Amino acid sequence: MINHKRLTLGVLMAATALTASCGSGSVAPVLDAGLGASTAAQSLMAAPSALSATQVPVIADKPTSRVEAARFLNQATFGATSAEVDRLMSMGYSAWIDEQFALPRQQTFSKWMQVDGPRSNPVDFGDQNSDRESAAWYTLAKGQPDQLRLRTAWALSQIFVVSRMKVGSNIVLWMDTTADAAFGTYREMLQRMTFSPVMGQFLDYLQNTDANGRVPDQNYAREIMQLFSIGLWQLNPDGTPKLDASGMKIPTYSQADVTGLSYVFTGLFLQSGGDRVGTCRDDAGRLLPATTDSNRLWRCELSVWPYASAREHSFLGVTIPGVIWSTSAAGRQVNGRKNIGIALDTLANHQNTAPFISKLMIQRFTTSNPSPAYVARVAAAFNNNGKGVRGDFKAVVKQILLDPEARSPAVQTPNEFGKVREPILAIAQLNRVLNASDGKGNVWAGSSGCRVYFNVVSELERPYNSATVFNFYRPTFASPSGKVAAQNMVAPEMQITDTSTTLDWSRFLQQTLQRGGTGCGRGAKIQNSFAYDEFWAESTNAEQLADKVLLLLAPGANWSDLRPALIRSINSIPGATQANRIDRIKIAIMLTMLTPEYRVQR
Amino acid sequence: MSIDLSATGINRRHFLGGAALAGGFSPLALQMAASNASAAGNDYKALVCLYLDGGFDHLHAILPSDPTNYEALRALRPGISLPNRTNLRSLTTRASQGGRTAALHPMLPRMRQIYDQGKMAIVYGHGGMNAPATKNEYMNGSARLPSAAGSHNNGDAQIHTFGDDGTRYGWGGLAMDVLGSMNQDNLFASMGVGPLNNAFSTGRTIDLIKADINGQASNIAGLGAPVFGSTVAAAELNALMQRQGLSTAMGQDYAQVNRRIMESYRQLNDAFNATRNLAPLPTNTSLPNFRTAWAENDIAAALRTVARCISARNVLRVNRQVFFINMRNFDTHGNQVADLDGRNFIRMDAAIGYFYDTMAAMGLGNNVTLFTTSEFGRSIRSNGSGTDHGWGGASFVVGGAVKGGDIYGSLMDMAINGNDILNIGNSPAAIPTVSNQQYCATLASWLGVPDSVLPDIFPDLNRFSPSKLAFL
Repeated sequence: MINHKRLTLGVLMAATALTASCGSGSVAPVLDAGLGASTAAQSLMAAPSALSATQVPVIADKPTSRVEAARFLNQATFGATSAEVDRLMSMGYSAWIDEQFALPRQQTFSKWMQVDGPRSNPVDFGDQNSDRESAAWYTLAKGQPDQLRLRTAWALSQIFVVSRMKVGSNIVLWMDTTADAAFGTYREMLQRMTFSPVMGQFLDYLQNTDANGRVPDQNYAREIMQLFSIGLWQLNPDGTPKLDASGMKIPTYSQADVTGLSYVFTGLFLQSGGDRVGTCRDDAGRLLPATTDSNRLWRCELSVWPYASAREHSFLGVTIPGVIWSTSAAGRQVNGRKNIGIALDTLANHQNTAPFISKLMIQRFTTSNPSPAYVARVAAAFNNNGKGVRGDFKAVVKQILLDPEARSPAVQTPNEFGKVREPILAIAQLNRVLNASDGKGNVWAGSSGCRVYFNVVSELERPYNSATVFNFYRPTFASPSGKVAAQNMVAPEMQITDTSTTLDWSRFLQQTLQRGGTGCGRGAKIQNSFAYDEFWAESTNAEQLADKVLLLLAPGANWSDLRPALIRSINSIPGATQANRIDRIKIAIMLTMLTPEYRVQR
Repeated sequence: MSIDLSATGINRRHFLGGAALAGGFSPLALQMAASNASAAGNDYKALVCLYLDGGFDHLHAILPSDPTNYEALRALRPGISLPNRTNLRSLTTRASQGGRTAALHPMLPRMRQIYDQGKMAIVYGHGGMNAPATKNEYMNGSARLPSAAGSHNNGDAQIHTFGDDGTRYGWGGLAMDVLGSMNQDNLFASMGVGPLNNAFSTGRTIDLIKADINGQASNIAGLGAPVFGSTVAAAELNALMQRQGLSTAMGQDYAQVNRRIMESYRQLNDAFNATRNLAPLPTNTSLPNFRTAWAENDIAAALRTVARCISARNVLRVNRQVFFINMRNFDTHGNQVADLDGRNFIRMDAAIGYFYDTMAAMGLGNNVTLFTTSEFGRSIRSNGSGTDHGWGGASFVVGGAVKGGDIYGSLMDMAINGNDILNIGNSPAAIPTVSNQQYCATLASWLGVPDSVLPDIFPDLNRFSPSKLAFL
């Protein structure tokens, strides 16, 4: 059932990029410990360890080929371009990542929504049926230089889920929260999330109280444990489940812990004044020192006000005092914040948090089935960034991207590494390689005034619009009758890849390429026109065009079927006229993006 | 191939068809339905699972109506306004419930009628559990609560797969594994409409196929017509998409989905073409709550698509089918009254009423049974404006074959310290008295799964007596 093939590359770990995160101790392969011990545990078993921690090979800091460079960029950005491939080839992985870490945000979702979107294109923005929130996201994903931050924000948004279906346009604030938090620490993310009015709205803890005999709402208390920090089951440092003497998984918490924690998340109000002063942000995300402007309530932290519970409560073995009502209002606020802080510290420092969050993050960037050793190395980076800081997302992301399992095809378990590309990432990539734009740098996402397009993209996947707090798909999913399930692996994105949405993807591709742009406004107007510069020079030569398309779209895939098929298809159209050359490019992109070679990102 | 991107195909006018009668179905549609029914014989059976996603608050839908329990619930739920008790009409039951009575929420009037006609049953007090147990046994630790009780994922699993979260196979698909030999082929044995698929639908050999909610079917774009002027490219694409045995496991799974589209679209297209005018949804804007009940009711639209597939069962070559529809937004932690009374109840009542009428008009009332599922019931106490995750719940079963007009299971005693409520970690929840497995095994048995096979699908069934309930 599980492919036990292992690679034993006898190279000692030495890459400088890896020392920080691998330094916290040896990670023994744990593969065989749990196998067969419990059927209950098997559905969560990770793919086997591809190599042990003491046999981590050196990963050269310069990409070994342009294909390897493009493969990295498709993991770290919303789509490789040849210019970026060139830059990465010369500067190397570490310097590229460090450059990204240092980039300031030049544009925020809020500012685009408030100022730049409407100002630069009042027609499309002014269309009441326009999907503006998606447009904000696609515009930044396509054009902003801080790609790794936005890609990390997208990963975080699929763990710390808030959906537009419930919060409406406020989602733009959450887009910025995830982007602002992307290069901070996990503990800061918990802080921003808990005091976010948008999360408060989404998980129902605004004005939560135990006053007048009520029991507090438990939604946030449950999901912050189940989904945002420690998960349901106790984990080993490599992400595999711990098992009890009878081979069963061990719960991390009980209903009593949920109830206890629910009392901590009381008294959080969307209200002006008090401890909110100094927590408000402008559209560009800058903290405003003294704003108590009531129009800006949603851009400030929630305030701790009366009705915070006065009861002592405990969860996960930690006792948290109640707010002392006899103190002053300001005193209660300090008190309430301190109590919430104890709860968040408890979650951030729990032994499950590093492997739980690390594995989810790996699944968003590189592979659905990381080996336990890969999880352990990323979890080690989570636990200590090399400078004693816990939960540093920069260290986590760097380890995920530079881990030998991510970078070296020789280390990856053949035919298992990778993930199914979700529709949003495919659409964002199409926008990038064909430089889709309204001429003002915006990328629109359709309007319900153009119904067919809108229905198709809506059914596929819309940014920050999952149906529930469980994200678009669950991390344990595999198509039940498929090969992935038979190999005891997972492919979460397949949960939204059914016969209906796969048909939609083909229709989307066909329509947008035929029309020469993405987005569809009122009267079926193309909103973002394609430009073919990226492939223009190659478009007169079938081999060169096929190689360029495969380089940017399907690096890491086996091209043995697809490349000759592309060449024959391209050659069926003469390369003489401008229209012919565009058709050749469209054919190559269409065929590539429909095939498994593209939809499985390796 | 050119695709018209203007507002064709899916606009509401087309979508609703040319319904001539407000609130009813056109004569043409009825004729079609009748002719379909007579053509197909009577062997057909289908189960339609309507999943009330989020945790259905049965206590707010099936309200206690005797004074004691009504007042007890009201006192436990400040901030959640209940209909006035004097406006509640107690449901008749065949046997006395020990002085306890219940009434459907007034926003479920059509379901009330179907109940009164004896065609809707309520299965009350079911939940996820592995063996029968009493409150005392839970309290003294001799009985165990289900694993990870209270999480959505596990509640979902405990009524659809009976395993942990991540369990691949569900009982709808497994039932069709058993019954597949009754179909000419099994491509359409397990169908879903709308977003959010569920493991319910898949078995070891049976796989889910989706029907587009708007009744559209086509082949993968780019196949069957030149790709940007190239017939060579179309042929190459076809060859690429027909490949089997790709080296990567994920590539194989993705290719399999594509192949299933290629295998199924002609039949689906024929089925939708043949049923274009079948039972359109009402278009009379003066109907009560028209927007919520009809114009924006994607559950009614999904059930219409189910009806179209059932009507075209000869085209799809099936005698046994399961369908799955996800109705979301039942996780009513906040704004419960607005979300249930003002929206979900209206949608559910209209959709279920529509589907019941449509099946009856098609002459298939006895052949198709619709039932609801959910993760769990909700907490007994209010949290201010909503309720949290509980345990025991209740479901509806609708159709001509249902021994309806009755409540199966005991109405609960709302006394907070009584025998029917367990304080789980300071959060009071209803103790289930019926296992989800008994409930679902009854449905699977009706579909045709032999008794001897039921324990393979419902692993703890033999611990409960009777193993099946009497509502079917």
